[in-house]
Amino acid sequence: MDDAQHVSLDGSAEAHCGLEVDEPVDEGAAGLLGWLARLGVDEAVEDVGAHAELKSKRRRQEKAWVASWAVKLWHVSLVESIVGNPRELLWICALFERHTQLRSHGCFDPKLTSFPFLPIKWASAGAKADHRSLASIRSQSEKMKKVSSLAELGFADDVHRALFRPIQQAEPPSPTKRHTKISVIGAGNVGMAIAQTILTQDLTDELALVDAKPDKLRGEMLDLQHAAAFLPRTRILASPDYAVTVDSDICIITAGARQIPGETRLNLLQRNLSLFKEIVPPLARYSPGTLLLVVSNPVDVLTYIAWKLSGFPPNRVIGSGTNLDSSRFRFLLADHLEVNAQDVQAYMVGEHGDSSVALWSSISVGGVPILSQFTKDVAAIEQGVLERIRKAVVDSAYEVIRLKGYTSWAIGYSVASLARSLLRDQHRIHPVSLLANGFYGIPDDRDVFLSLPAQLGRSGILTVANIQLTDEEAGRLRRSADALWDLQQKLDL
Amino acid sequence: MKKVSSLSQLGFADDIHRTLFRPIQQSAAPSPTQRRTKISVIGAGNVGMAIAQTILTQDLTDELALVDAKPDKLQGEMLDLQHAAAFLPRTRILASPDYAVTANSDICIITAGARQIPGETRLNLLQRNLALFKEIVPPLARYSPGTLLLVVSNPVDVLTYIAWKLSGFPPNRVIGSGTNLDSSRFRFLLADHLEVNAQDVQAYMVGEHGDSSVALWSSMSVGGVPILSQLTNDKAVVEQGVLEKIRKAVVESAYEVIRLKGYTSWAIGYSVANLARSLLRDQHSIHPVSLLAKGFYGIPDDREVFLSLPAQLGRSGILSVANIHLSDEEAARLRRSANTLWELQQKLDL
Repeated sequence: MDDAQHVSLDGSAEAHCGLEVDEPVDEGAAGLLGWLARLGVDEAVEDVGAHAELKSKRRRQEKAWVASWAVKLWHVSLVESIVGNPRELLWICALFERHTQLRSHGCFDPKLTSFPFLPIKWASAGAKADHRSLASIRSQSEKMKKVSSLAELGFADDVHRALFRPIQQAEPPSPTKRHTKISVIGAGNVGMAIAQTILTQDLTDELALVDAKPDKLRGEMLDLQHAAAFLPRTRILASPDYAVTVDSDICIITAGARQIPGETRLNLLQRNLSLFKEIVPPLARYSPGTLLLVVSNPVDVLTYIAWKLSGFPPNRVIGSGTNLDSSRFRFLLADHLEVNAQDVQAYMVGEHGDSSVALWSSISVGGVPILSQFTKDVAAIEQGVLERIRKAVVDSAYEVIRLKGYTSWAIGYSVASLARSLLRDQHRIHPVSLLANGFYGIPDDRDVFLSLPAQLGRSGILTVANIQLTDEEAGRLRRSADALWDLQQKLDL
Repeated sequence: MKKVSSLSQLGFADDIHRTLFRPIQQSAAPSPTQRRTKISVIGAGNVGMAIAQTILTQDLTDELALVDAKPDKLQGEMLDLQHAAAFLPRTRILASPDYAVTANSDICIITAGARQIPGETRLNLLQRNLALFKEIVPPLARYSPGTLLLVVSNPVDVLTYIAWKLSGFPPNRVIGSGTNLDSSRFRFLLADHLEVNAQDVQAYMVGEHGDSSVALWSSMSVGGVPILSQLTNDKAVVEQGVLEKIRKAVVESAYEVIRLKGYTSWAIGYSVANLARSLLRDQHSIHPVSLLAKGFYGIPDDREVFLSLPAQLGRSGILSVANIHLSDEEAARLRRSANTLWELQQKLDL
């Protein structure tokens, strides 16, 4: 590391990071040294065999954890002795950033504002990119400062240590400890209703918000954090930088251009396509294993776009689709029949929009199929009552928008319900927008997303339910697929 | 109140229900003493709707009524909540500009209020809100004579006093949200700094909900351990007035959120839902809320003034006020808070 040029994270060179190297005086450091000895850090061991890679990965993780504690305790010399080369230090910094309290506050702990030097002499562009991302994380985090301003107001930083002490020989947190995290992109009415419902229902350990407007974003984050006394302790982060979404279990996209009066649907789609080109690739990069949940409209085509832009397998890209339409449908029926809406099984499928399909033939209430009861009254069918009801469901969103300006609460509950089924591996069936080719007569060679009743779990879409459709319903579904396919063809993807 | 469902209008037969579901023979009619809990929220703005939605999500009540002067906005908000029926326990949601919809409420939550015009004096704002409350409070009291009134509109202390006068209710049934949220913000700042759960931080802000609020530093504790001595070990803390700076930061955090996002909603929603739960479910938990404070902590018996003190809440409203040991400074600040509010009340044209 002699040749390495030492720079601090914001890119300016420093002669020395200015740290003091203290004698270890507390239990933490003693434990640390114990760990070091166990890891045999001084040895250069060559592992061979089938598990070599796994072992070396695990070893690196352990080293990273020890390094993170060393940094926390300002033991610079310890850091130097742990890491073998600049690339490894960089990797450790990235891991550190991801797994420690830095992440928990969406910024760097003020105790670490002069993070030790970061060697920049590396060969590949990949490493450079990591450095830039770390630098940008830090600069963003300077703006999104630690929530608690008590340190700025003069409170001693180490009050915590005076009040609470760990027991002796405590181990650092295990690197394999998991922590659920949901990111919401877009802090508008829909995004915030979703975020707040997820928070109230205690669905996740960590919630990250992203929006292009930093003031609005920070205001929303503070408003949620101020409720700390009334909620379980959930970490709430917010940043315009997608780095804040790193390691998410679910990423919920609500951002989208609003329709200008007179604008064609295709034009709106093209604008949203440009927006998604900025949103989806960073999300995929920061959370390569995440589940993408698209809410923005028109949801079916945008879910298709998200799938294309992310490169994810199709089971991990889901659109909120007709989950809410079905709820509205069930609400209308339940209210009329004076039963609980949860006892009404009724799906709307296909496009989330004008060509949606109401599956009348499979409606059941308390397990009893009821279409026959409805169609006893022949007049009802002749007057196209069923079609009018379907239209009423489709129109109810427009009605709410006309009355209050937008919809928020219902979609909030709908998406939180999907998030719960996914995160908690519930294996429940929801009508959501998914890659529909090969189902219900939709041609295999047409990549089209539309809503079908699907079983959801931790790995996303597990299966699609095989419901018996009438000829009419199947016909409508195929027409829905055709309409969406034609629209997708015109896109400049 | 029309049946929500428009299926009848669309041609569905009205008696479908009877063909699908039939009661057992010789069933008794529902008992008249069978009670359903009901909460009414007056004002369907950002604050009112955040409160309503949190109450709904937390499944606190059987029936929720919304009242607002703007019928379209009101109808839209009601529909938006109803459409979530498949994801919630069955709660009856009603909405109307007519106060008759609030009949028989267990709690009435008032969030309606005039917003401050730039340059307007505080007294003038109060007079406008007084006029508004004269339209709101009497009908509420008439339709639900036994209800608990929970005032959220600002300035909350004087408006709670006004609600008390206009309703004719005994003072234990008229409560202002007061410093319940300020205390949450206070606890949040401390908890975040100390890296503990906010629920383990006991720290009250009392007095006026506003500039002259009082932070009870001497009774602050974390996990049951009083911590003021630890904090003030550092001379710098004392000399630089750090404690006062923190109190101010709490008072200003509401303004900061308003400056950033235009209004506050989520935090007050959780705060009021938390009060509603303690009241409705008779929890006997202690919250700093705005109440008739005369006779407590040296506030004169003849001064009918409302301000926040830590109080025990239950089904009949305010059960008691906690007797916390105040330092001389804290007691003095509290009395000054009371004086300010008393003088303001005197100028009102009640």
